[in-house]
Amino acid sequence: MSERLTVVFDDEDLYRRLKVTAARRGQPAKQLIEDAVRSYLGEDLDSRPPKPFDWAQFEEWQSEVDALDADAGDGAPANLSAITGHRYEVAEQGPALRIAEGRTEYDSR
Amino acid sequence: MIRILVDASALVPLEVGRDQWRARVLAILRELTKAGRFELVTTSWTLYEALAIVQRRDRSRVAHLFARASNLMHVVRVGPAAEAEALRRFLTWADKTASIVDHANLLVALETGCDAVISFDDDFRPLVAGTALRLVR
Repeated sequence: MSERLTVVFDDEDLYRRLKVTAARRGQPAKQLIEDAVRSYLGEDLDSRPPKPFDWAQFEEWQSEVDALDADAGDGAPANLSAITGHRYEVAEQGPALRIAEGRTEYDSR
Repeated sequence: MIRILVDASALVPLEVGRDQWRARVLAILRELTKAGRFELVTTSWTLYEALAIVQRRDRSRVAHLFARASNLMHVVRVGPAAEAEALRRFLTWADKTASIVDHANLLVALETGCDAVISFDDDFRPLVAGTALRLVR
């Protein structure tokens, strides 16, 4: 169902840019406005088809990871999920890392 | 269907087998699968953050993570409204240690009707407090 809304542009230059862009793209101005509002408000997952977690697909991914890791060897850092440390390049012993990740021992098995 | 947001701290271990949290993430997903149908959600910012972190280990793995995560999860773009509010919270909520990405993740989780968040980042804990979201770790 369509809904009607009248918009008064106080910024004439913005309105002009809208019309020019719509003409350049060959789209109606209302399409650009709809796209802009949709983009501004973010996505509505309920309007998208559901994406139930697929365990078989997940297992396939993890098998590939195991194979790639086996090829890569042991030289790489293992605490990559210490996000705060990576974001701010905080040293491993720093307080931010302690707050974010605690002192959990790494288990390579 | 239950909807769960995945934080970068839970996304990275899915691509890096030696990561300290991998076993825990696998156990969580196994438990959720036994419990019923659910869908995973992440944000574009979180995915990009995870890609940047994985890149440090192995550049060749980023395309693999992107493809697999995009197939398995809803990747929600952080819109300008969420970005503006995340920035406002980051700048004004002086008692929180969370990053802008954490704030944006929380906003997207709430806006998209998520029930829980998988995160091993303690900065997330105070953000979730007071919301209906459950922190899974």
